[in-house]
Parts: sequence; C-alpha cells; structure tokens
Amino acid sequence: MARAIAPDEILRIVDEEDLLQEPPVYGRVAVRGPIALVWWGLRIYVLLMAVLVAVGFAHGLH
Amino acid sequence: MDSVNLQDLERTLPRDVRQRAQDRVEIRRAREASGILGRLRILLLLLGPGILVMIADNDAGGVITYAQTGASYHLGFFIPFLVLMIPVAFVVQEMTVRLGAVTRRGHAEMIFMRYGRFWGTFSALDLVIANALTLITEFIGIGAGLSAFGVPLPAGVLAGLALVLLVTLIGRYRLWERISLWIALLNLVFVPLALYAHPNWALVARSFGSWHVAGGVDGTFLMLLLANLGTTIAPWMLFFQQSAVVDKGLTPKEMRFGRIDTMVGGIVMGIVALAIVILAATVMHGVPGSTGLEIQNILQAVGRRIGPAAQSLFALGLVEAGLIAAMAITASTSWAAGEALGLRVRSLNAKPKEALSFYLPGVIAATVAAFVVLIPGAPLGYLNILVQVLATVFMPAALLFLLLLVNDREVMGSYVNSKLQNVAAIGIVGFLIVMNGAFGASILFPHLIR
Repeated sequence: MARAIAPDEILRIVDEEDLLQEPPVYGRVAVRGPIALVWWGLRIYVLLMAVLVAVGFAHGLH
Repeated sequence: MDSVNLQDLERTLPRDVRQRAQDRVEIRRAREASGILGRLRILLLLLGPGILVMIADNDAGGVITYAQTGASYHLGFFIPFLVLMIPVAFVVQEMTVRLGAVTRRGHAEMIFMRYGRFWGTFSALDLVIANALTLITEFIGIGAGLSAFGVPLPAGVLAGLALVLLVTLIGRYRLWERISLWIALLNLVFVPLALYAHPNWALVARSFGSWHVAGGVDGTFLMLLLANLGTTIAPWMLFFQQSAVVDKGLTPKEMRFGRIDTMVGGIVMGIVALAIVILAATVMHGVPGSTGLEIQNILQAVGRRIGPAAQSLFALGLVEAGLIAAMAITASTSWAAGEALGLRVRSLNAKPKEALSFYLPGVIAATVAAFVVLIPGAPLGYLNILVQVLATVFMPAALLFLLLLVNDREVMGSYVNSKLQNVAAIGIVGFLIVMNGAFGASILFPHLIR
C-alpha cells in the first residue's frame, strides 16, 4: 500500500521544485520579414482551402 | 515547526499546487527507489499525455475514416502509409513535450506571450473552430455506437455528454488522466476484431512493397489521404499535449519519459489504425453500398460478415473512440481558452466552483457539439470526413508557430530542435500543403485527376 504523503513532504517539494513560482516570462518578439510573409500566406491558404473543401463536399466529392 | 503548523501551512497552498505537489512527491519516491521496479514505477507515473493524445487521435471520426479507407482501397497504399504516420505523429508531438516541459506554459499561452495578442488570437480561433467541429464528430460516434445497443440517439449523445462533463469536472488532473487511460484501453478492441476477420496477411505484407492504389489516384483517394493525415496530426493535439505536460508537471529531467510516453502512444495508435483498415478491407471491400459514409453501414457490414458480437465490439470501440477524444478535446479547449484569457488558475486540478471561467469554454464547446448532433437531418456522415480534411488545412499554420517556438534558443535553451527534427517537421508541413493543393486542384480541375 502506498505510504501517505506527509505535509512536510508536500511543502519540501513545493519549495525544491518552485511549484509556487510562476513559470518563466518570455518577452515579445516581432513576427516580421519572411516569417510574417509565410504566416500571411498560410492564412490565405487556410481560407482558400476551406472554401475549396466546402465546394468539394457540396458537389458530392465523397 | 510542529506537525499542526505544517498541516496549516500546507492547507494554505492553492489546491492545484497542492495536488501537483502530491504527484511530484510520488515521482520523487519512485526516483529514489532503486532498480528496474523503481524505473518502471516512474514510467507508469509519467505515462499519460502521450498515450492519451495518440489514442484520442483514433477518435470516432478517425475510426470512420479508417473503415472508409479499408472499404474503398483494400489492402494497398494505406497500410504502409499509416505505418509511416507513426513517426510523423511522433515528430510533431515530441516537440510539444519539450516545449511544455521547458517553458511550463501551454501552447496558446506561449504564442500569446511570445508573438502577441494578434497572432495568438488567430491561432486560438483556428483551434476553437477545429475543436468545435471535431467535438461534433465525437458525439456522432458515441450516439451511433450506443444505438447499436438499442439506445436512442438523443439518450446516447446526452449520456456521452454527461460522462465527458463528469470526468472533466472531477477536479483532479491525475484522476482525470487515469480514468481517460482506462477508457482508452478499449481502443484496442479493434485489434482482436481484425484478427478474427481472418485477413489476407500475404496481401498486407505485399502492400509495403507495392503501395498499390486500388482504382487509381482520384479525388476520393486524395480526400481519404488527407482525412487519414488529418486524423493522425491535428491542431488540438499540439495544444492538448503541451497543456497536459504542464498540468502534469513534467520537468526537462523527465523528458525522456515523455518521449517514451509519446512513442508508445504513437505505436498503439498506428496498430489500432491498421487494425481498422485491415478489418474494413477484409469485411467491406467490394461489398455493394459499403463505401457510403454512414456509420450504420459500417456497423451492419461488420455484423453481416463476422457476426453480431463483432458488431457490438465495433460499436463499443466507436463509443470509446468518441468518449476519449471528447474528453481530451474538452480539456484542450479549456486549457487553450484559459491560457489565451490569461487566467491564473487553468488546471484540471482546480475545483470547478473555484475555476468556473477555466472549465466553462470546454463545457460550452462539448454541450453545443452534442446538441448539434441532435439536429434532425444533419449530414453527419459527410461531417466526419470533412472535419478530418479541415484538420489538415489548419495544421500548417499551427505547426509554423510550434516550429518557431521550438527553434527559439531564448525559450528552449539547449532543447531547441536539431537539424534533423527541423527537416522532418518542415517536410511534414510541405507534404500537407502539397496534398491539400492536389486535393484543391482535383476540385477545380476534375478532368486533370480522375
């Protein structure tokens, strides 16, 4: 049978593993240049494909 | 400090932190135990997100897609293709394990934090749309599976919804995970079913050499190819596994176990997917009317060819597939919405009455999806395949941010992607786009692709 977990064990692990600590904060980076271009390309692609898939299914491609 | 004071101090900890601390104590104890049993105990404690995400990937829509694939294309191209999908799913999901363990933040949260509200909102919107649609297909599966046992569709769907909500609102991540894993075991029911159908194993083995497409490449083939891709890798899986890794408290030191978890899940997913394709190919291929998209046709075909017990087992597998995925996607929706909204408490360890705004998005998504299934005359059969195809449309955009994050040295430190991992991931994105393009071309220019 599993040993019961004592309060001091809980408090020790909270302290040792920084469980009360907020995770690291990462600063903002700008999405620009080729990455922004790729991203917008993918947005257009999502829109186009969603329309095409809908058209395909509406015309009974199944 | 005396024990009463320690107890008082422990009680002041937020519930989600206390619960996670209990899990971490158990992992530490297992770590301290020497030998193979200790290692096995750590593995068992750390298994979860990977297996769950992969098995939930064999969801109700996936089961129908695989059955459709086997019925339409027999034992050819899709057998080796699905084997290939195991490493594909692993490559994608392993990145979320690393990202979650290193940052201790969910996927939506990382996109919002690193790239801002504008890009984060787009990603969250994609996820909400894809999750809402996918949840509908899960309740289609649950309702259809239970109807094989004589349960009326509305009662089956509402019972499924009640179970999903009950487990989601249990207020303890570990218990939620363990219940989900027990339910997920039922996914294996398709393996004995496939064996019992006495498939032609020589033909299965030959398919690895031939990659033969029965009937040739046409629009239907491309659609099923995309649907198979979409049921293997989908946007909700990225958000789900990273949030689950964070909620479980996996640390970079334990990443190896996270990888094993994901690999085991991927292999199980592949075996079950292959079992369904082989089963459907054996009992349904060439049978008039068996290539329709309606679940009832599939169930009836299984019943006719291998008996009513097999039909009941298939139906049970379908219910399980819907349930496990509905539970995972409901949790994924809550986690992603909680992260996007910047809620402090966004853990399945939180009590529902203390974290209503965290649980609400998942609850609403599941409830709306269940009621959509009850709309009379809804084209449920089409919707199943459509959702899988749409998952592949959303996937490249979702993968772009994942790739940016796992290549960000400021975020990942030494855990950034290797060159090989990047080549594989970019190859997957490229393949998705090319296949989607070919499918689009087959719609616009049907004479080009038969």
